[in-house]
Amino acid sequence: MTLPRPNGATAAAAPVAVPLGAGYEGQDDRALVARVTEGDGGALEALYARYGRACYGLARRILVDEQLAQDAVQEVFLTVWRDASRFDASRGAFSTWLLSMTHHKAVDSVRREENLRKRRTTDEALEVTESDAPRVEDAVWSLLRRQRVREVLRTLPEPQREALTLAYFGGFTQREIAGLTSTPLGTVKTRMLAGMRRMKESLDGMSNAAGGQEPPDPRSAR
Amino acid sequence: MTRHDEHVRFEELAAGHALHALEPEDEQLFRAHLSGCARCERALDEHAAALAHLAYAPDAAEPAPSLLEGIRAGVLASGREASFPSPDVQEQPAQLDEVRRRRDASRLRRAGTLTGVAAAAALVVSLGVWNIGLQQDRDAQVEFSARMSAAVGQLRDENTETVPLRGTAGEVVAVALVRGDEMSLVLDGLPVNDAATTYVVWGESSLGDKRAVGAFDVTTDGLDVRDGMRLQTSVTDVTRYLVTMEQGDSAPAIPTLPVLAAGTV
Repeated sequence: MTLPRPNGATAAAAPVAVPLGAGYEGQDDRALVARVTEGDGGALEALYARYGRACYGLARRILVDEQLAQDAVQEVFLTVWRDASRFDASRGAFSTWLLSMTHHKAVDSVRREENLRKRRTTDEALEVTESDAPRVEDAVWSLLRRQRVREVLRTLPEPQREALTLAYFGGFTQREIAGLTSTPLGTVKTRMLAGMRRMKESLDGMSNAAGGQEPPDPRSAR
Repeated sequence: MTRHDEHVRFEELAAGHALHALEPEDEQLFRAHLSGCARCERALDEHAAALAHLAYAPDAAEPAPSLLEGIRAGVLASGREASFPSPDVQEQPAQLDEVRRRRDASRLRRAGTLTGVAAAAALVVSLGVWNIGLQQDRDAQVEFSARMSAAVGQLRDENTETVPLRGTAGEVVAVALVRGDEMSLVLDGLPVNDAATTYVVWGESSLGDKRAVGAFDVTTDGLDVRDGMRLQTSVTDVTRYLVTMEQGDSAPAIPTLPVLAAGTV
């Protein structure tokens, strides 16, 4: 028996004059950053094609607002455009720098917007309400990648996970977390460090198991 | 207080700094310390790398096209000479205000691509290796690896259909991979069932007929794959897949209990 094919479920995207990132596929992030410093807007678009979605997903999670998330990500990529030389490859991957900058911008923004302070907490901080039905490919991608990272979070003791998620996804400061969880500030600091260390250990182990390489970002293949 | 004890304090601040969670006074204190401390600088780099992984924990979200338009507009407005491969960008320099106005009215749009599935396959490869490292039992590792490899094979096949199955709260708890009359399920989120029950996945036709595709158990909270299920020829036009939890260890003739997850083809 042959199942009916879903309309458009795996159809190719509508043709465009120049696909985003076309012509830069073989270049690594560092090469693209170097080209951005030389004024190559296409290289910036290629970086956006690779990481724009991840940056936006993170910003939207923190800000719980699509408009503010877009503004934050736009600011991040324009910072890359204006000052790509700030990226120091000796200190880590470009994606690490970019996502850290995105996190920082989003947290700054959420702290400016008092009405966004009603944020979800702990495990709820990871839940996202889909505003549109996702593509089936996205559903698979999200399911698997999210599961991988959440597996690591699940291994953390609850107090450590709570401290990390409130800070990272909630944008709360250590003192705010102490207040929210009725925990001494010093304990929050200790939990945060312990959680970071445990998370790093788990990720290190997994990275080694994967051959010492960070798993590929599927979106970089677009 | 020893030098070690003293430095533990800065290590704690380094974690808070990486999370952008320090109070202003602690931030100031840490920055003053950081300029001469290679240990803390290294710790910050390690924290940032770990947090970059965490950034992928939220669901993937497709930004509106106006985000890219806004970036292009910002680039063109920056005063730096910029080259773009797309002639459209040079000929139609969007204004930032206009981009923002359109954003307000825009909705998220999604465009399908084949590369998403191929990319998902590459991801499953890494996930397979990743998860194996978490498993304690060697035989289980081998078996898990084989099932993951099969799922990868299906994802790479352009004839494979992927159908997300959503739970009652709207969350994706499984993805059906359908190729011809063969089906596998990538599971993540269905509760572990006990020995007295079994999960059953059903194919539903446009007329509402339901036929069991396969019965399976959920044995772990984490990612798992169930393969080897086969669609029955009596349902010729499957429009929806359903999952129920039934009593016993095999599928009844028709669903007897509420639908726990469903996905439309």
